[in-house]
Amino acid sequence: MVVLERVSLDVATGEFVSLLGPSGCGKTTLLRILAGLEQAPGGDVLIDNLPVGEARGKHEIGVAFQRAALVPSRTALENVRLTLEICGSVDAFEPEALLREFGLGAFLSHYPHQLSGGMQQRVNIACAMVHRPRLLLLDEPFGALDELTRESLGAWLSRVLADTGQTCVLVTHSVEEAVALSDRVAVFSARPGRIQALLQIDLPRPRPSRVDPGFASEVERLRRALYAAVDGGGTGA
Amino acid sequence: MKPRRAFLAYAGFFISVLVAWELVIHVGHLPPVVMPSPASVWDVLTTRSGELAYHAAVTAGEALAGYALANALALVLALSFIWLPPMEAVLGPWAVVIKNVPFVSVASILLITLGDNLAPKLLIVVLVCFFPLLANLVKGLRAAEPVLLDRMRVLSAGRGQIFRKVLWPAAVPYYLAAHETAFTGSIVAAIVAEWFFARKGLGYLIVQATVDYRGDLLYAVNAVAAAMALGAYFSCKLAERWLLRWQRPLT
Repeated sequence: MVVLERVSLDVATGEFVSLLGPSGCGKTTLLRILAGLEQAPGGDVLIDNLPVGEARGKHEIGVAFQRAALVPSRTALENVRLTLEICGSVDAFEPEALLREFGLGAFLSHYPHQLSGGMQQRVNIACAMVHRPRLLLLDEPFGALDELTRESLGAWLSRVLADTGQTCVLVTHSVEEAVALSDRVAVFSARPGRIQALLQIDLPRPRPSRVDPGFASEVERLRRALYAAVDGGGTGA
Repeated sequence: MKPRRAFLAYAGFFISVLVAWELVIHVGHLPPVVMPSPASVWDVLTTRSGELAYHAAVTAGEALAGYALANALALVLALSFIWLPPMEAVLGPWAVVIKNVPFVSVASILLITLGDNLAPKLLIVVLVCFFPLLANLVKGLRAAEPVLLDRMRVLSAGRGQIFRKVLWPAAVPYYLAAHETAFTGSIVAAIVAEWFFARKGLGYLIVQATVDYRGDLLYAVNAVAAAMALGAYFSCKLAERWLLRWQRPLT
């Protein structure tokens, strides 16, 4: 079964690109290919001109999955340190300082089951970025959270990435989230997934409130592009 | 259960046993050879303590060595099942047969074949302990979250790192569940092995006491064996308390 077809995408250093499309269109598969977790039958993934396998070996990639990848028997701090135990700590963020930056200073010694879903996701993202990977891949990290928590975590992530300057690719099926976070949005058709449109988000950073007319108009523009992609690009949602 | 409450519960149990024991002797008019009094058993425990300690140490040594072997074997096989799936198809039936053959009958064969030395006794302990450890280790290693394994792969972690940091922590709760049964079982297995053909160990003492109609010695040996098994059980509980401390809810 063909999941993705003729996908070509350039992401600039420091850019935030979202992959938006209906469920099953291959967004997560593309993210897994970018992370080197799956092999595409054809084509290449290059990160700073390095094949993805080499970039992975140099610890240039960090991934935060929808389901938090935390070791249950390690505290929040120990989970973040786990990344450095494998990658080494040269040029990395200081885990404790990073978690404090993420608003988790009071929860350093809490185990994952003692944290809320939103806190677990913040630790999850801290684990993915503590070694300062050049490319941060986020697979619907806020997917399981309620609307308000999603919004506040999204705003928080924007601030963090603006500070660190890391390149980020986010998989999402939320139009609002894509507008709130992205510099550009790749809109996918239904399976087999193709990039049907690549839209620049014309809003200043920090992004205006979601009830701002400018924000609403960008959401509307993206939603139209998504409908067009699903209706015209594939076999239906 | 809180430690103080647990202590009181166990103390209550032992006192009840002693009272029931005395009652049975007096009401049933049982001769000492059938059921000795607690006082006479205590007498044996104190006057022959050196001899009992020596035989207990022999049994404990066999149990511990056999148990260590069973652990090593179970861990190596469990990892081979995880990392080389065809191994499970090849070796799985062996493990199932070993589990289901009555170990007492195999014990006789081993003792006749290998003679009165340490090897058959260790093998019997391994036979008893190996399968629950293997089954739970395989289950535990497979319980590791796929998303965590993906995280390790993205970080280019080696097999050793993946084992230490993800697979083993996932397997610990499963391992401890098997450890509790298998560790106490190792003492039982060592005693049974000594019944057949041995000149030392608690199993040997049990046979001697039975042949000589020494009820007091028989009961004393049983008390020592029970104390060893209880010690093993409580050490398992302590290990569980320490290793699974992360599971406790916030207070």
